[in-house]
Amino acid sequence: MNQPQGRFGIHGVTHDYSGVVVLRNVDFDLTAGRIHALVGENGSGKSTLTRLLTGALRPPRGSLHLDGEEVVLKSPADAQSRGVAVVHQDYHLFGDLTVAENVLGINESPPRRGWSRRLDKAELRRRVLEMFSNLDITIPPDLLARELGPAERKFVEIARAMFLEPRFLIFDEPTASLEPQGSASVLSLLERLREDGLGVCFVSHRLDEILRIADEVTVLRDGERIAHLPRDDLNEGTLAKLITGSDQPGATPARRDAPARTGRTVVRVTGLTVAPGSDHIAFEVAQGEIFGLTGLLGSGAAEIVRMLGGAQPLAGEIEIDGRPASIQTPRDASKLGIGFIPEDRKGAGLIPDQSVAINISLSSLPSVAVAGWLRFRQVISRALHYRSELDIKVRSVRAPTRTLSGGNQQKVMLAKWLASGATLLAIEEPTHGVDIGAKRQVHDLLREFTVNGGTIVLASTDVREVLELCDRIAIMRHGAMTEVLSASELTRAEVTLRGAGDPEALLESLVESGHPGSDA
Amino acid sequence: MSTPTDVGARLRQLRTAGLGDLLFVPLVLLVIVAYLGIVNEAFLTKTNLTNILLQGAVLAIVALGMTFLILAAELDLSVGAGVALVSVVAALVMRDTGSVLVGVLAGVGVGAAVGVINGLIVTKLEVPSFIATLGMLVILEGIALLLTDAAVVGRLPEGVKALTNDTFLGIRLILWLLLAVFVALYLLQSRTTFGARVFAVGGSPEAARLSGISVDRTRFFCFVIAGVAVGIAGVALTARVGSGQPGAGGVLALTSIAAIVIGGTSLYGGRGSVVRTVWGVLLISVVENGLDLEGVNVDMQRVVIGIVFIVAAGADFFRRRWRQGQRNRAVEGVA
Repeated sequence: MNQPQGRFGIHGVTHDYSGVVVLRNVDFDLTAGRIHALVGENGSGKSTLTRLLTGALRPPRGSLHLDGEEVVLKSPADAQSRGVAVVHQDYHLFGDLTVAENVLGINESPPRRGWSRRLDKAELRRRVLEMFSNLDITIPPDLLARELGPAERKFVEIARAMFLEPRFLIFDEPTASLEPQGSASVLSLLERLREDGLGVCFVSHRLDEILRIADEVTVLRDGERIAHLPRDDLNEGTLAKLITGSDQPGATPARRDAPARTGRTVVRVTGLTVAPGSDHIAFEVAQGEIFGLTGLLGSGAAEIVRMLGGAQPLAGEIEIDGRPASIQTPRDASKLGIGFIPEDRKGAGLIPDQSVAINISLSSLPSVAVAGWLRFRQVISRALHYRSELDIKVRSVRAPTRTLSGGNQQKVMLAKWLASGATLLAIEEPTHGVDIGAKRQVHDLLREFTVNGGTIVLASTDVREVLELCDRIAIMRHGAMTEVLSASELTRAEVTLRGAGDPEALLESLVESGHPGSDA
Repeated sequence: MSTPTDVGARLRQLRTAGLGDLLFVPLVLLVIVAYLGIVNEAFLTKTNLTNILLQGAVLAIVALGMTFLILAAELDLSVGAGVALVSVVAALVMRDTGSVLVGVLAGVGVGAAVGVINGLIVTKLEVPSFIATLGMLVILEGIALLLTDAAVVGRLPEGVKALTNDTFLGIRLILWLLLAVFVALYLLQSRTTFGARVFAVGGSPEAARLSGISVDRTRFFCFVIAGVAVGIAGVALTARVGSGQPGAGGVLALTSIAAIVIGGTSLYGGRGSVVRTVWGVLLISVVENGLDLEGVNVDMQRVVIGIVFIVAAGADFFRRRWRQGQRNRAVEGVA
C-alpha cells in the first residue's frame, strides 16, 4: 500500500483559525481506484481538511504529497492543474447557461474555432455528450441549468469536475440535499469513477452510504484523526461510536414525562394551502406540545412553519388562543408571541457582523430601551444571562455571531426569542448542520421551553430528530398532510425504526403507504 | 459594571479585530499632515487649519448623513443636487423675506422633503436607491436651475454670514454646527434602538425582517436623515459663500461616498461608523488643501483625489491580506 504512484495525501497537518486549532497533526491519503470516506461531526475539521486538499487553504504546518513528491497547492486552480478537483456541497451552477456550458465551467482550454477563437459550441456539446455517456448521465446538454432537479444539478457539477480530467476527486457531502433515489444514483456514479481508477474522497454524514461504497474510512473528532480503518472493520454501530465518542449516539430520554399541560389549544389552522392549488390543511396544536412536520424535501412542511412565523404570508385561516389572527409578516407573528427560527442561520437568522448581545436583543429592542435609547447594561446583562442559561460557548457576548459554531448560533437565535417572550416557536430544521453534541443540547432546550409553558411547531427532514423530539408528528407529502401520528403510535414507529435501522426508509414508507398503526 | 475578564475579552477582541483597522486612516492622515507641515510653512497655521474645516464642513455634514444610508446598504446620489437646491431655496427665501431664520428653515425643510420623497420612492415603489436617487439628482438640478435661471442668488441679508464669521468660545458657529451634527448622529448610531436596527438591516435584511424589524421603515428614516443633513449642509454652504449656488452640486455625492469608504465603512452595509466618516472627510479635505497650497490646479486636484480614493480602498485590501498572512504565521509559531 505504500507505493508512491497514484497517491495523493496530506501529512502531519495542523491548522487553526484565529487561535482555535481545527486540525491537529492529521494524515489523510487518497489512492487511485479507491474511495476514502471522511467522517466526523460538524466542527471536527472535515471541511478544513478538504479545503487544504483542494488548495483553497494552505497548511501552516504539514505537507501535501502527490505521487510521492511534496507539492504546494497555491490555489484551487493550481490543484486542478495537478489533477485534484472538488465537487462542493452547495451548488455553483449558472442558471441561465446550458448544461454543456456549465460543464465547461471555468475550464481554461475550451474547444475553440476559427480565427476569432470563439467557443466551438458543437465541439463542446460533442465532448460533453461523450463524457455523459461514459458516466451514464442522461441529461440533455442544451437544457438550462435552472430547469434541472437537485440530483441532476449534482451530476452536472460532477461532470464539470470530470471535465478537468482529474486523477483525484473530492466530494463534499454530495448527497446532503438529495432524496434517496437521487442519492443512490450519485453513489453509483462514485463507484463508477472508482472503477475508472480515480482516487475518490467522500465526505458524508450518512453512515449507511459510507458503509455501502467506501473502501477505507477516516474519522475526525475535534480536529484529530480518531481512526483510519478499512471498511470491513466497521459497522454502523462502531462507526457512530467513533464519530461521537460516546456509546449511545442520539440516545435521548423520551419526553413522555411531559409537563403538566392545560390542553388548551394554542394554534388552530384551517384551510391552509402551502402553494396555490394545494390541498387544504387543518391542524391544531395544544399548549406545551411539540408538533413536528416532516416529509421529503419540498413536501410543504417547511412552508407551513414559515407561514406560522410570518416569513411568508399565511394562506389560510389561523386562530391563536382562540382568536382569529392574520399573519402576513414576521412582525405580525412576533406581536402574537410567535418566534420564527429559519434554517439559514447566516443568511436569515442572525446579523453575522453584529455582536451576540445585540443579536439576542434584536427582536425585543424596545424592552432594553427607554424612549428609543438603548440601555447597554441591560443588553449585556441579558446576553450574559442567556449565555450561561443556554450554555452558549463564546468568549465575549460582544463577539460577532459569525465567529460562532452552528450549534451556538442556533442557541443565539433561540435566546433571541426567549428574550422577546415568545410563547410559540416556529422552527425550520432545528438542528440542521449542527453536530451531535450541540444537537442534544438544542433538543433539551426546546423541551425545557415547553416545560415552561411554551409551544413548538417545527419542520424537519431529519426523521430521527422528529421521532425523538415531538409529541405528535404530521407526515407531509406534495403539499398535503397525509397523516398525524401521536406519541403512543410513535413508540411503535420507534420500534420499527430500531428494527429497520434506517430512518429514511421508515420515512419513505410512512410517506408512500401510510403507517399501519395510524389513525384515520 | 465591567468585570475584569469582560474588559480583557474586549481588549483581546480589539487587538485581533479592530485596533489596526481603527487607527489606519488616522495614522495616514497624521503622516500627510506631518509631511505638509514640513514642506509648507503655511499649512500648519491657525488660519489654514480653520480654512480646511470651513471648506470641509459641507462635505462632512452631507457625508455624515449619508453614512446612515451606506450602513443600511442604500445610497443617495442626489445629495449634491440637493445641496444646490437647498442653497438656492434658502437664498431666495432670505432675499424675498429678508429673514435669515425663515430661509434656514425653508432650506432644511427642502432637504428633509427630498429625503422623504427619496425614501418613499425606494421603500414604497421599490425602486433601487441607485436609480431612484440618480433620477432625483437630475430633477433637483433642473429645479435649482429653473428657480434661478442658472444665476447665483445674491443680495442676501447681512446676517447670513454670521454662521461662518461669528464665533463662540473662539470657534466659528459653523464648526459648532458640524460638531452638533456629528454628536447627534453618533448618539443616534450607537446609543439608540434605531441605530441597532440600521446595522441589522444593512448587515442582513432578511434576518432583520424575520426578527420583526420593519426594514422599510428603517431605510426610510435613513433617507430622511440624509435629507436633513443635505438641508443643513445647503444652508451652511449659503452662509459660507453668502449667496445661493445653483451649480454647487458637482460631484459632492461621489466625494461623500469616497469619504465614507476611505474612512472604512463597508459599501455593502452593516459595518462602519460616523466616526470613520469624519476621518475620511478630513483626509480628503487635507489633501485638497495641501494641493491648493502647492498651487496644483483644480482639475489636477480631482485626479489626485481619485487616486487617493483608489489607493485607500486598495490599501485596505492589502492590509487585510497582510493581517491574514501574519495570523497564519502566528499559528505556525504556536503549533
